[in-house]
Amino acid sequence: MKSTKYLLIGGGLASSQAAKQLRAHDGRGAITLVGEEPYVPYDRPPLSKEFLRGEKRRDELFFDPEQYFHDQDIGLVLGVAVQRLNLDDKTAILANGEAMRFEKALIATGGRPVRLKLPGGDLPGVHYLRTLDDSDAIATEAAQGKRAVLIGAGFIGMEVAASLTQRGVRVTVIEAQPHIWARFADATLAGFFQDYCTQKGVTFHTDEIATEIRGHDRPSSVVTRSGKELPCDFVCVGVGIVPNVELAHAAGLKVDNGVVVNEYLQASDPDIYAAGDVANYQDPVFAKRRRVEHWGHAEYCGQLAGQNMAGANNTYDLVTYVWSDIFDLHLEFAGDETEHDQVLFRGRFENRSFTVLYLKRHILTAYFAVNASSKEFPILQHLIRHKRDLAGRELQLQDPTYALKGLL
Amino acid sequence: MSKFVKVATTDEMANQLAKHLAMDGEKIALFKVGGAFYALSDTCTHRGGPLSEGDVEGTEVTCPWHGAKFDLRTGAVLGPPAQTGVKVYPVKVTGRDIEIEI
Repeated sequence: MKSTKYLLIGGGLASSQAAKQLRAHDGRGAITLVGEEPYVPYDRPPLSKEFLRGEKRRDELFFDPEQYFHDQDIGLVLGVAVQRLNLDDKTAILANGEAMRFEKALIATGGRPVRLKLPGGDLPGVHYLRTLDDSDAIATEAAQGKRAVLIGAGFIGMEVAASLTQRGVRVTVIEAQPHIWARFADATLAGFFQDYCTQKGVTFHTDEIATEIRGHDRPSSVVTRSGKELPCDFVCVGVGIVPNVELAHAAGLKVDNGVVVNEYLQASDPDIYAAGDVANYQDPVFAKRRRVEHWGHAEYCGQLAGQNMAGANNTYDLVTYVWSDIFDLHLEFAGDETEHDQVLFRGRFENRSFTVLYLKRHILTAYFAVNASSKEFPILQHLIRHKRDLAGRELQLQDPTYALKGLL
Repeated sequence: MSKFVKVATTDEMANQLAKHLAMDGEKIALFKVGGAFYALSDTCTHRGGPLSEGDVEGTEVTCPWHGAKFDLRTGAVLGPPAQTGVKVYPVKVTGRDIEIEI
């Protein structure tokens, strides 16, 4: 039977970061990374942006070339999933039938797109976006003058809408909620983006649900609940992901909307760690359990898990953040917007440079910055982290000429 | 062939500690610390944040987007989440002209 000291399950960002930290803190211990996709770990954010628009080459997506793993003595098993984990004898059974003994394992299996169940949903030409192959498939469809229907207006959906429009595709978006980004944006903010994208050529049907994808061997139209029939040449679906918890669940680990981990990212078995999209962790800043699907969190978790697997006792301490690019608007978002009772606008929509501040009981919980001065981000993050009482400071927060440093 | 190019004057930098320079498609950040000038890539190797808008302490700049730290003198990474350093450009001051080698 093969054996390894550290087993990294999953071939994404979190595993890649964990491998680097493990090697930095344990120069000799055997590390094995097992990934279901046939590629060395790569960067997913460009898949809906630069790569989809043809501005970034395929080879630029990989964090490190294969040679790096040889040089660092990190074993790679690619194109193979881990099928089963046996915690009693610390053994993993791989899909190719091999068994591998380990001392500590990281579950970084990420998530998979929620599949739509509707007539025509399995037609070729109905795409989901998670992997490099998915992005390749969409890029192949994205020719000038083609028509795409996008189902779901979340971060990925809106990025794909913008990128496809920039490639000359005529894009129609269907969103079940009354406005885009319903999970994190209020109606005013969402309205700004919707208007901006409309000006750029995107058509929206909100408060609408796709009920059928029509077509013989490929999609020719999408039918909505209210009876609209939207003609198209292809369809992209982005309605969220589900965490890949099956392996952890079958192994008997505690699972509750993700693999439940403590502040060290240890699962209910202390030799097993989880990181990234699949981890349900205790957030110290917001004092509650969260599962976060952002790049920066996966990167941070991978590093933290790697350090702790190698013997450190570091605890999670990140103000979670995410960025997005929609046409020429750069967005930076940080914190937890689900916790707020007040929304303040700093700057003006018309200038296309503003920050939306979310507060709860006068404490900043999140910000959403659009083409805003990044000099303010560290200050805003400080206000979130240290729960500064901002009662009576509303006018200053809304005044973009006021230097936020005065609030520290 | 690289050559020194005038990018600013010392008068211009009298009241500022950092300046963004757009040079032939390259984004460069010029910093002033004490009396010394440093020039490095203005694109953070983590996710592309503008280092010229970052906080500077001593000869360390912190990217305003996600907190990566770099050494102004060498471009080396001093703190995560970045893992690779940024390019540095030699700077020389001739009279009042600040020149960098590109």
